[in-house]
Amino acid sequence: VPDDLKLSGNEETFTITATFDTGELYGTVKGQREVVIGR
Amino acid sequence: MNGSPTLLAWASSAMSGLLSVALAYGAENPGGTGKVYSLEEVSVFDYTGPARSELQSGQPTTDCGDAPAEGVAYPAFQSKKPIYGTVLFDLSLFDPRAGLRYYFAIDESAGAGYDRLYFDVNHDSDLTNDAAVGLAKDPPAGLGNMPGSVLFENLRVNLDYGPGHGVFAQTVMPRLMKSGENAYVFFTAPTARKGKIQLGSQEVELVLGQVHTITGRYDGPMTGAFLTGTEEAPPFLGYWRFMNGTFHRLSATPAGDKVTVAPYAGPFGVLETGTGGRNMAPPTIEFGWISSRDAFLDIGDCSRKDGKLSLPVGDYRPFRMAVRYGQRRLGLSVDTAQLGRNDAPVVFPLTIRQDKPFVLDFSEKPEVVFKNPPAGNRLKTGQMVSVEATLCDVRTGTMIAALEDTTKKTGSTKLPNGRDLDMFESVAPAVKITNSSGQTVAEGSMPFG
Repeated sequence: VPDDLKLSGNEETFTITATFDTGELYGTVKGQREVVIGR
Repeated sequence: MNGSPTLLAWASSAMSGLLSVALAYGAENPGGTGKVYSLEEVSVFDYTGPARSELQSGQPTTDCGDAPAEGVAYPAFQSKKPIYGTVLFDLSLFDPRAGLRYYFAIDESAGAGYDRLYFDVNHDSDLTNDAAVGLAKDPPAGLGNMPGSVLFENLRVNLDYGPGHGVFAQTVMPRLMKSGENAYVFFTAPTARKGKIQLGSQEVELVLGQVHTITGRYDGPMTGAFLTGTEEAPPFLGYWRFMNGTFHRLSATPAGDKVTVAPYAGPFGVLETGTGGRNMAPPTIEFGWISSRDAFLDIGDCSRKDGKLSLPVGDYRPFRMAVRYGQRRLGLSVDTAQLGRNDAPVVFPLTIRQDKPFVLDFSEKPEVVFKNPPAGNRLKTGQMVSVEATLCDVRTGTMIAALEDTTKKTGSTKLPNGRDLDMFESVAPAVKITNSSGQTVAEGSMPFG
């Protein structure tokens, strides 16, 4: 996490999205994880 | 983008390492009469055959770091950076919940290198009541002078499998290996079993050893089993060798002094693929291995007709399986990170029966499971964070460990069993990080594995 990351307030919730492209089998499959980043 | 050997690495990992069980949950009893052979004890340091390096390396654990385990009592250390570790003996691909967890720690008694091992020999999560183990005074040739490696005196561990299953004593040789900031500890069983057996029409030398995991016994399917003169890949006792058109099952006594070789004479059933309701041709199983609670089969050994595989009747799950579907080849794999956990799925979904084909149609959509960062994680700016996510069928403990684009061939190679394998570009998962306003602050790709 960069030292100079701009935060909205003292801490902010960020969302990580991982996307797998399985082609014709299931299409794109996504998942998300939230993390709270503070100073 | 360069071509990636993802699937080959994924397939090969089946060979690198990565029990006596109820047949009701495993493959059908082979039924054929077996022939019994005697094996002799040999030192893994005197043995000069092709399995020498595997036998001498022993079971590795990468679960070492600078954080003590919760609920474990440790002695006072001299080192400012003691190494804390955990090893799971009796780890098994065949029994996902098997495993005896042992804690250990390594100290620097004189502040000049790691030279004291504390190992929870009595298995009470208290390292203060276990004797400190010093450096080996007379290390075997080859182990004593390995760079970055520290060999400790032998330990005697009693592996207790619980009431009715017995206690098995085992000597292990602990060895610390440092590579930069990373520490690895290996546990080598100093002896193995060796003898000649007849497999089909061929006489071969069989060596049994505790190479994948320390168990104190030789009768489990996870026992290392190496045959000279054959081009086989998975060195497990539970691997059913296919010779002269017949599967052969190997089983051993707990002491490893006898091994039985029995040709499979039981029933077969059919494994086929289905469309799962999609308007496309069904997937094709290209290659791979499947396992039951006591058997490990190479799909390539199973006869195939019109895309239908003939397998011994039993309950299986994919250990490694490459499946081609449309423009993707995917690598299915057991989620080995779950092995040894009390809540690991014990599901063998490929139910092969004599009277009804099993249709593998991939109708259950997998979900993305984050392993890192953990849920509820709070981070600070300047802190390192790694993102690890896998595509899993949580119910069965199976994951998609490789995805390739079959329109982008990068070359070809050979599998460990000698078969040809086309290689394609990897389709790496994409990762994006957005802030609370939905603005993207970082994005990139994440390697498999």
